[in-house]
Order: sequence, then structure tokens, then C-alpha cells
Amino acid sequence: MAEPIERTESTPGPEEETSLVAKARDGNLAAYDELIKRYQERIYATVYHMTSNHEDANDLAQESFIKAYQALKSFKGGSSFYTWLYRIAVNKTINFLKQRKNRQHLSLNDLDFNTEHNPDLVALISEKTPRRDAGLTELQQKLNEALLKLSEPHRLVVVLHDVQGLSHEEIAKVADCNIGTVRSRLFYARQQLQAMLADYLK
Amino acid sequence: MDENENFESLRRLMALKRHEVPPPGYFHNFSSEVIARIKLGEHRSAEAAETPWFLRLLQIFDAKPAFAGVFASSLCLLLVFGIVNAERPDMPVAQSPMLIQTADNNASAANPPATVSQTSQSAQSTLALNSTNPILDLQATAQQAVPVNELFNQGGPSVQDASFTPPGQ
Repeated sequence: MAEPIERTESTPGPEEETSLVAKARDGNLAAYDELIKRYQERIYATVYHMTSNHEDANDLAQESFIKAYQALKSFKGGSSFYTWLYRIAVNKTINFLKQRKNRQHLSLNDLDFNTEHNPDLVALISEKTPRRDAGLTELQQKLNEALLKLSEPHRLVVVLHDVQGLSHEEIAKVADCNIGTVRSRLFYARQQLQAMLADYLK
Repeated sequence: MDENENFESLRRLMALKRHEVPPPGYFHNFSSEVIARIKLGEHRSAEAAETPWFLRLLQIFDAKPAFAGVFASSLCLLLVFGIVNAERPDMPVAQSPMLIQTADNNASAANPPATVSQTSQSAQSTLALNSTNPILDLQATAQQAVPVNELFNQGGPSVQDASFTPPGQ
């Protein structure tokens, strides 16, 4: 039975996270609910940017949290809970993408209100893009199609670094490879994207 | 950093991805849905643990009809094997003289005595010698044809004639 836990408004530190993980491991679902709320947006976003499909991202994100809860007893605390959770979500997503290879159906999320007010993006479209009639939605579509053309390891690195803002070290832990590999994959993925999106980058 | 400068335009374009958001209110119910699914999974596991074994077996049959077929075939094979095995004698046929004798007698009854093969006769005599069956023993004795006199004159106690004269004669 889930026990109630104290909710704090301030961002909890690593000590509190350790405590939440310990409680969740003992079957405290309220503690796990707190952990889900803390990481749900980042996990969902990573899966979504890897799949470019909202429904798939919803299923995979939920399944990742469920699998993490079931595997909590095997979590020894060698890495942070966040990295461990990320790794579960990434592995689940990559396995899913391997099975989905022949089905490339985009189900993109809407762009938020701030997009049209982002000066970088407005400038990119209105000044540098030769196809000035290209709207943000079309650009979003092309960007996602280009990302889906990358291999899963390259897509993962570019999503985690350029979209999610993770450092090379964090990506190396999540992807279970060394930093040199992360750098080379990132460079290659960017080169590929640059070639595919050349019309929008001139 | 050079690599970032080279890809600055791309990085700004990639920033567009950060503005892709799920439907409004999506994350309000996300954690409760996950918790509900976890509870459902735990409930199912607990139910599975409490269900009697035969009900669980039936559930497996429902889920996998092929498994039901394999199980039924195995049961049939086991039944047939059991029936075949139950009809067999405990001892091997070659070591049971009674059964061989019975079988041989049956064969003799079915065929005229003149047509009984020599092999069958020799086998019968061999078996009879080794048998503890009194009937077979008698037959064997008859075949050996030992004279009756020889049976009583084999170095046994000698008998002397007694002369008895009543008193007064």
C-alpha cells in the first residue's frame, strides 16, 4: 500500500532523491510518483525526439517508468537514478525503433506559443532560408524526417546533446560508450543533418 | 569551440525541437497513469499467485491453444503406453518355461502330432529337463526310459531272506 510522503515545493537535492529511491524500492508508490513527476518531461521528450511520434512516445515513456520500478531492486546506486532511468528509456526506445524499422509514421506534437517569438528561429526562417514561404510547421516536419534518417546511435547523441542539452559525459553514461565515441557520433550526425537540411541553413 | 561554430545554424534549427510539446495537460495525468498500471500489474501478479494450479493451467490453455494440443497428445501417448505395458508379463518370455509350454501345447493342439517339428520336440525335452514342473518331469523320465529294476539295484542296503520257525515245530 502506498504511503503518503511529504511534498516540497523546492527542487529536491540528490540526498532526497536517494531517499525517494529507497522508499520506492520498498514499495512506496507515493515516493515513486514523486520520482516520475520529476523526470517525466525529460524522459518523454527524449523518447519523443527519437521516435517523432507522440503515441509511441507516450507508451514507451510509461513502460520505461514501469520497468524501472520493477527493476528498482537491481539498482545499486552506482550511477545516479536519473542516468539509470535514462538508460532504460533509451534502450527500450532503440529496441522499439529496430522493430518499427518499416513504419515511419510521424505524429508530431504541436509547437508551443513561444516558437513564433523565438528570435533565432524567426531570423532563421525569414532571413537565411531561401524558401521564405516555409512555415514553422513545414520546417518541423523536415527536421523530424531528417532526424529519422539518422541511425539510432547518431540520432540519440544529437537529440541528447543539441535538443536535451546533456553534456558529453552524461551522454557517454547513458549510451554506455566513451566520450570520444560520443564526440565522433555527434560530429557525423551533424554533418548528415547539415547535408539533409541544406536548404534551410544557407 | 570550432565544432559548435561550424554547426551554429544547425544548432539553432535543432532548437526548434524544444518547442514541440505534447497536448496541454498531458503531464498532469502521466504519473497517475503509470502508478495505476504498476498497481494493475501487482494485482495481476497477486491474483496469479492465489489461483489454483489447474485454473492457471486452463488459463495457459486459453492463451496458447497449441499448448493444449501438445498436452492432450502427451496424455494420449501416455495412456497408450500404459495399456501396452500393462499387457506385458513381468518376466521375459524366453525365461518362462510355463508360458512356453502352454504356447507349445497350443501349437500341438492346432497341428497334428505328425507335423510337429523336430526342433520343437528337442526344445521341449531340453526345457523339461530343466523344469520343476512335475508333469514335465514325468515326461522327461519316460523319455530317458530308465528300467525300474535299476532304480532299486543301485548299491542300496542288501536284503537277506529270514527263516522263521514257530516254536514247537
